[in-house]
Amino acid sequence: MLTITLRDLQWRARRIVVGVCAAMLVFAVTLLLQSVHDSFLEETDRTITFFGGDAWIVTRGLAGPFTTNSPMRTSTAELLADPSRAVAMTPVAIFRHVVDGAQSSGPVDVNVIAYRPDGVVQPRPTAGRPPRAEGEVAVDESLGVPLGTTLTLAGVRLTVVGTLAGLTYNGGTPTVVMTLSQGQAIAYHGDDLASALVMRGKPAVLPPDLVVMTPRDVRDDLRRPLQVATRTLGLLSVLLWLVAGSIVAFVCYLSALDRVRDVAVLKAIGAAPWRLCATPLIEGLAVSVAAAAGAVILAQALLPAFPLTIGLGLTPCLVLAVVAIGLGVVASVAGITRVLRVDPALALAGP
Amino acid sequence: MTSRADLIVSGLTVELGSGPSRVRPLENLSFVGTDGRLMVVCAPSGGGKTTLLSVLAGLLTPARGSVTFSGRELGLSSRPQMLQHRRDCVGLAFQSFNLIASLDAVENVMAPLLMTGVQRSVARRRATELLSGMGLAHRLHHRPGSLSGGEQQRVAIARGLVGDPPLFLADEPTAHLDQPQVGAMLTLLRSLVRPGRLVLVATHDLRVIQAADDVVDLTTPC
Repeated sequence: MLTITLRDLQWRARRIVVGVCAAMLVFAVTLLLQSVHDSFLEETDRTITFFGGDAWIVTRGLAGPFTTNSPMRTSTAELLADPSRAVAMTPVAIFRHVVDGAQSSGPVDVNVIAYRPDGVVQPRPTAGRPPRAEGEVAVDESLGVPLGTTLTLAGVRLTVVGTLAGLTYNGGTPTVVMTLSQGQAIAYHGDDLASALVMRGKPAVLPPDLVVMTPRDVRDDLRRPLQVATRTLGLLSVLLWLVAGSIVAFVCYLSALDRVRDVAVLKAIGAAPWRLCATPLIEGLAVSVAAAAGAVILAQALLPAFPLTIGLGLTPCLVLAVVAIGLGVVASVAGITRVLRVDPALALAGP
Repeated sequence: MTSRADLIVSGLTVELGSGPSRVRPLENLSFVGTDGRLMVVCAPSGGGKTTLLSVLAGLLTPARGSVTFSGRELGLSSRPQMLQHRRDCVGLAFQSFNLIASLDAVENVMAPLLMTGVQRSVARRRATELLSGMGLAHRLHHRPGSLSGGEQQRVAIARGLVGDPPLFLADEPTAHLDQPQVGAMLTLLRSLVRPGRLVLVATHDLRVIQAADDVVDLTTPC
């Protein structure tokens, strides 16, 4: 039966190739969507890791330091710090803004993280050094500016002294890191305020107007605004899988229609119907799996074209392989049903 | 005692369609075919020849009547029994050859054996022998599209014979052949007749009828 199936695939090679290409394109888009989805989640992990620390302290009643803006006095950090118990605090200001001078196309939206140097937060630039004084910034590589570039943020001229890798959030928005005093000058009119305290150790007591958030709580807070986007991407992936499955099913069904006379002849000369089902099944699996394999290569080739920093992990590829096998089997049902319905007496009908 | 390839058709009635469009291409047909003979079933077009072959091949269930082959009545209402009958007893050569376009000549002939689980190398050897015996050794790896009508017909006959069936059925084997090819086909059909096999040909070609040992006339005149 394998011989007959392979010969049939060769015979219809052009149609099979067209089906594989169409399904491959759809599978590649699902892989890219999945990569974007994953990158949205991974960038939040990287952002939380950037801050370091064991916990965060924010004003009671806030959802988190990234999504709400009710600053606290930075003097709280000194009150809660307890060197004897290895408890250290670093106030950070977190807000969104726009920079000019990064790209010729105009202003660019950025996240701003302002921190107090020599504290819990220790930026590790991939090039240059962390900002240590007002007028200096370190920026994420995705902003695309080299060291020494002068940016303008809220009318303040800032020199890029360092670049950081993978420090994006809110859907790939690049981050600008500056000193706390610079951030306070921009966001709080110079008042001694901060969005949160990043803490190492555990304080003995906490004022009633403050609460402790774990890094996981903060990460979830950071992810919440993206929930609609990530769910939409997930839904689109499923719909695209169905489109790919329909393409494979269409190829299988067309082949089965073309082969009605052949199937009738094979049944007439003694082939058991179940044996004949192998052809559409193998055809469905071959088209689907070949499309999935091609999609991995295509998606990998398309990754650099994306404005987001995204990568193709092993897990989405394995998921695609399993989905492709499942879709191939399900899609072949269209052809199998047609094969089973063929009356062998048709073989004796006239031409 | 019935010999191995004897065929007894008794009171066979076939109905096709339903309601007002119902037709009876065969009605109360009875005849006997004898082992080792070339039997021709003749009738004009639409006279029930192909319907009869369909019943004898286990492809069509009659409304009434019975078919006994090699002393065993065919269970014509049981699909598994019909399939078994087709596998074990019947070789078929179709009017329009019905070769599979994607397979070459030798693979077309191998197909019935592969379908029944015969080893690939054994099937290839048997198919090659048969085709070589029919003068097609130089055409083994040609697809049907590059074979002449006569060559396609010989491949189709080889496919019907590859399982060495005791009942060989041919439907209008000369319909698509020119005069010299018809002569060769008659010689080939005669060569298929041997003890242990009944060759039954459905045709309205007088040249084939004249070469037959027995003739069943479904309608008159033929």
